[in-house]
Amino acid sequence: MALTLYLSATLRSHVPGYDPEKGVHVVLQEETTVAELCRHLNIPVDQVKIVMVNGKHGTLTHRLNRDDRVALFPPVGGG
Amino acid sequence: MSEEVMDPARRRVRVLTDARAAEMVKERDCTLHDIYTAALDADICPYRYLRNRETFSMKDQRVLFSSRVAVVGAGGLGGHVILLLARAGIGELVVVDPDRFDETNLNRQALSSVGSLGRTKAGEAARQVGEVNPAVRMVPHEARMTAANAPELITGSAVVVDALDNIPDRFVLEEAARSVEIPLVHGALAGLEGQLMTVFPEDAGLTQLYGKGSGRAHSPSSPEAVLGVPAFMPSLLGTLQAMEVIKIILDLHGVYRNKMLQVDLETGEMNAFTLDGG
Repeated sequence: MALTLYLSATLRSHVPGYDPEKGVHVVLQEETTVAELCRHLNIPVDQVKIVMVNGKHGTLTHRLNRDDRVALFPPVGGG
Repeated sequence: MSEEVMDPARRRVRVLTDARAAEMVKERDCTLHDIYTAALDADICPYRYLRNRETFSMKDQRVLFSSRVAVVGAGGLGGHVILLLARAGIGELVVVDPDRFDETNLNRQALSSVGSLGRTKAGEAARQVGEVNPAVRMVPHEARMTAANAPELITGSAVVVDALDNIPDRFVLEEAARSVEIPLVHGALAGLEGQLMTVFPEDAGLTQLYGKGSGRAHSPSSPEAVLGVPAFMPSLLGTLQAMEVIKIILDLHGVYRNKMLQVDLETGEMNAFTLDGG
């Protein structure tokens, strides 16, 4: 299945050539979890604090479907 | 005490200029804050607020001026928030920050300047607000907020603004806001991205954004340490936080409760995400 992943802030540096407007298109096996998606792309799971799937709050154990739009956010604390 | 002017939309408005208000302060041996309060109670618009109309009604302006807001952190976010709230017409500002300005603040912090290097941020906030809007009552605390003193620092405020620079302190402030039962307007940023959320005492709050563990303060691997904090996001997010304060005080729609407003200046996108319980 193919889906689109969007990354925020420092998570972007883990995907070489990441395009923040287009995200990254990933092809995975059916029912892959968000954590497995991260490991597939060498994104450290412990740096992911917020998971959004199709605009809804998700978790690292959420099982993904074809054409999902996944967004991952690290813990941002600056001011 | 007032005179009548026409605003740019050709509406007649009774106004009080600061020159006349200053004379009244001397005549009546009171503060400018007192004079503004009396003017607003009499439906007279302090002239400086003329261009707030009709976005803010006279009643709104009165409510804003009778409100106290606490801003914890007077750096990147806080500097903008403080100046905006002072211009908008909040009547009393509590500012908490133990730090002094240094040269690395000059890239983004609205209250910093070459002349203010070495001065305390809370003291400089009071000085600059005094120049922008001397009717605002300023309560600066040049002290570090702790779990012990936080409730006392923010009690009596209608809203507290989280303009801190690290996650553990944000949780301390959230707990204090819950204990004195006031809403907190959270903002945090790194690089060209930022996030905003308002937390009422009964809301799940910051655990929705950060999980249960608040982590280390000022970690070298944190996004803000790695990506830095250029000027643009503190300015934009500070504006959004100040507007959130106004919306809460005036009971307007569109407060970001249980939602994260995520702003990305690299893509030019703002997205509001609804969050589940923390």
